[in-house]
Amino acid sequence: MKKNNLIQLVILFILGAAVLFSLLLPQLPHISNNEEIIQISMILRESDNSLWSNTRIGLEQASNEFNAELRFLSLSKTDDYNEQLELVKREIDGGADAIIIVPVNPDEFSNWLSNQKISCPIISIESPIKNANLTISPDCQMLGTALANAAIHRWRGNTVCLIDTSLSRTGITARIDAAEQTLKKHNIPVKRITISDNQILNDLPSLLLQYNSSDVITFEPYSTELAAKCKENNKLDFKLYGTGVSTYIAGCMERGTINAIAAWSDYATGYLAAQNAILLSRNKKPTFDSLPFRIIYWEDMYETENEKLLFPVIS
Amino acid sequence: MHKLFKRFALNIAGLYKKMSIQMVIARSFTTVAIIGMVFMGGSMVLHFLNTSSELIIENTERVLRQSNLNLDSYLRSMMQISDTMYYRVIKHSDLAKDSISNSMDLLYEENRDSLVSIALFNGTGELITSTPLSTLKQSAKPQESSWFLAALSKMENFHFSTPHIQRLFDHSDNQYHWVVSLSRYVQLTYGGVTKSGVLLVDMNFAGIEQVCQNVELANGGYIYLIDANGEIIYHPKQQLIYAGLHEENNIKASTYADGTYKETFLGEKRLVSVKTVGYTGWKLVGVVPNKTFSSGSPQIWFFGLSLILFSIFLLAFVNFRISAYISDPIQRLEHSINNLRIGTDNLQIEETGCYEVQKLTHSIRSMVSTMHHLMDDIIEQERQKRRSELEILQSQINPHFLYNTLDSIIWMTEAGRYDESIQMVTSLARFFRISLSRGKRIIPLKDELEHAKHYMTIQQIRFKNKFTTEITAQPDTENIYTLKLIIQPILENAIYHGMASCEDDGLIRVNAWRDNDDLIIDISDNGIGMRPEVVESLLDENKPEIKTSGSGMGVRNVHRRIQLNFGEQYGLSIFSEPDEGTSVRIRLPALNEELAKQMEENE
Repeated sequence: MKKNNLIQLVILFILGAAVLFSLLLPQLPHISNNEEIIQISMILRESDNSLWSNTRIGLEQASNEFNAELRFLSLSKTDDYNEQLELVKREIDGGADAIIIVPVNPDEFSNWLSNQKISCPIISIESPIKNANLTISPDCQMLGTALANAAIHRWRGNTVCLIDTSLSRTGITARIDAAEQTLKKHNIPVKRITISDNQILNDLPSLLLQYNSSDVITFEPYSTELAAKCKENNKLDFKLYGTGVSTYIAGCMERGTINAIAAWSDYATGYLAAQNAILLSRNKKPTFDSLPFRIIYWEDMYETENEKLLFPVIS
Repeated sequence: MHKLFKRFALNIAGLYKKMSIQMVIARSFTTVAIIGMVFMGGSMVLHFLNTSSELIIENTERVLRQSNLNLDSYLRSMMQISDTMYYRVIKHSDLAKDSISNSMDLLYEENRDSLVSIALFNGTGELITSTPLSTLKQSAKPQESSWFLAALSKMENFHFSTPHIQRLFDHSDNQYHWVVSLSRYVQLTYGGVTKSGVLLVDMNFAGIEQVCQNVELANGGYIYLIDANGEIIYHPKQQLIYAGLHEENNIKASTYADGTYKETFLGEKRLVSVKTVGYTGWKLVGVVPNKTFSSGSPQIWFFGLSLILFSIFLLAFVNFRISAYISDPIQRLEHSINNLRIGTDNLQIEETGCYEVQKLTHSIRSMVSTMHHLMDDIIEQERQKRRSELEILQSQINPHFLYNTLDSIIWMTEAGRYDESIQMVTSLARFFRISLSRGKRIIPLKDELEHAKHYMTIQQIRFKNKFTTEITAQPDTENIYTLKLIIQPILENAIYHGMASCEDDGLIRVNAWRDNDDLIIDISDNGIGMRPEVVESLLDENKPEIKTSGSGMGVRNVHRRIQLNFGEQYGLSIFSEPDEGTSVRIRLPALNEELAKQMEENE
């Protein structure tokens, strides 16, 4: 056989093999056309996960769309860092492809993370973690500043109390710091009250009296609810500026208990967290830029755009 | 353009002229096949895309029709609730004395999955009765609500609102429902007096959502619902849109009439089908991404590319094989004909290839065979002709020579010069014997020299010894053979032209010697010589031959005979100077006995 003929036959064979290979490609175990199901574990910092129900719906929506399975885990005791860490370890060992976490102690968790060789992406919600792949949260400094500006807008001359329930949560601390700085910049007397969630209901009235305060700013949904409850229970007259969206908060706004809130879509938080976790697990570039938020005053809560944010359309 | 096309055609034609038949066939077939394949493939892809697009449109419109029916049915059921409440309860009740709460509760309970509340307001917005909750919120101002105002402004119609939060009634547990409000103007009877009122049926938004969700369209398409102003009523990503994380072209869609449109939104091409929902002016919009092959997976691209390459290469390969099957026998035939042209012996022409080529080969074989026979015949004829010519040449002995010689013998006998006449007769006899040589053309050199010697003996007697002759042969020429009768014509020339004016001092020398493989015979005289133009004309076939009264065989005759027998490189060379003499050199191959015999046999 001539050399040319042999070369032609070899090329023909290679091309034929390429056709067969491309036909078999989808059947090969490692190159399956169907994307592998991603296992996502969402680990909260609370024992009660009802506050995260909208977030969970967003997570589930994204998981359905992008072919992922979701495990939604809460702690047996709120803000128990060790338990949360154990849960993280257990989920990683159990083969989770991505971890979404609301960290109890972002700094500690960051230190722990820096000493680990973890291949799965870690996504933080609320507070940034240094070594995490991504943080899904509104810009904490902007949020703190916006809340402070809302309070300044209706300030009545007394001390503005900033309820600090952040403990070691750096994201919340950043919000409070920004609010404090903004208020101070406007020469408004500020008192930062470090208090636990449980103390709000009982101790807040006396503290407000003590500091001669008629304006209170809270920086977390739960503390906002507690402050509102305290206000209604004790029939107190102070302006309350809070954070987050829940039916209770909406009800309080409707009744005028809460004067304004910084609201963002928890559904969007969950959706974006799951979407980016899946993208990172599949070695794709994350798409998250920033989570928009809005200051809603109680008088305007039924404006169309505010209504959409305050009352998620959830079937 | 025409010139450009002509130039292109000429270039192609020029290229084709330089190509082999295999290349012409293979390239032409492959090109035509590829063009055909691309054309057919393109047509099929276009047809497929069109059909696919039509199917998608048909499917989308069918799904929209079905969804529209479902939605219509749902809305109709809501209107029936309103109608029932109005025509069967309110119209038959005097609200001053009758309570309609029980009927309202009953109606609500029957449809509680679809309803959030039913409420009846008077013309100023005061609540008359409602179910399931009966207390308005302090902040509620129904008379300022859009549904209330719409009902009073257009009394004859039903009014459907866009989805909103129902915030009329005081929920103890902070419940908020997304509802679509169906309101209508009603006439209320109070103690026989008719007053205006508004009947409100708050439909649970989830009911609409259930109608629209889980509707699947091709290519991952979806449907959404908008009101006449483009406000979204239902969208599968409604919450993302509300959060500002997703966008929809709903405002543009609200301007579309019923039908299907192509649009590009956020860089994505898509088909949008619109169907208006009766009563409400809402529009159901079906969106199908207009995906093409370009949006397929890399595996599809890889498969398509490798299939195309494989097809083209297979096509080219098969075409080359077929063209080779056709052209190879033709090329072999051409090669054979070339070999035939250069005279290769025992040429074999194989009859291979397809039928026509086999027939052609067969014909050429027959032709070659016929040609061989013809050539053999021609060679034989040429040989015969040459032989005849040689024989004619050899037989051209001038009868005058014989007559003059015999006349001289008679004259000498009458004069009593018997010795001389005997010598002359003896030489003549010897001369003729060697001339005949039993029919041989090739004779030993010594015979040829002897023949020359006898000739010169006769001529010396005739010319009364006006010249002398020296005939010598070098020792290495003893066994050499030569063409016969080649020296005598030269000697005759020397006698008649060189010695004519001599006075007993003429000298003619004949010397034979060997020059490697050649035999050289030099014949020189000291006669009057010749002018150069005469020398040049002697061997020139185009010039008239100089006739002598000698034996009749001229110098040119000898030259032609030698060249006919041995080739162009042999023959005569003449050197002459006027008044100095002439020298003629004969060059022949030095034939041994064996070669001489072989030549004789070939003849």
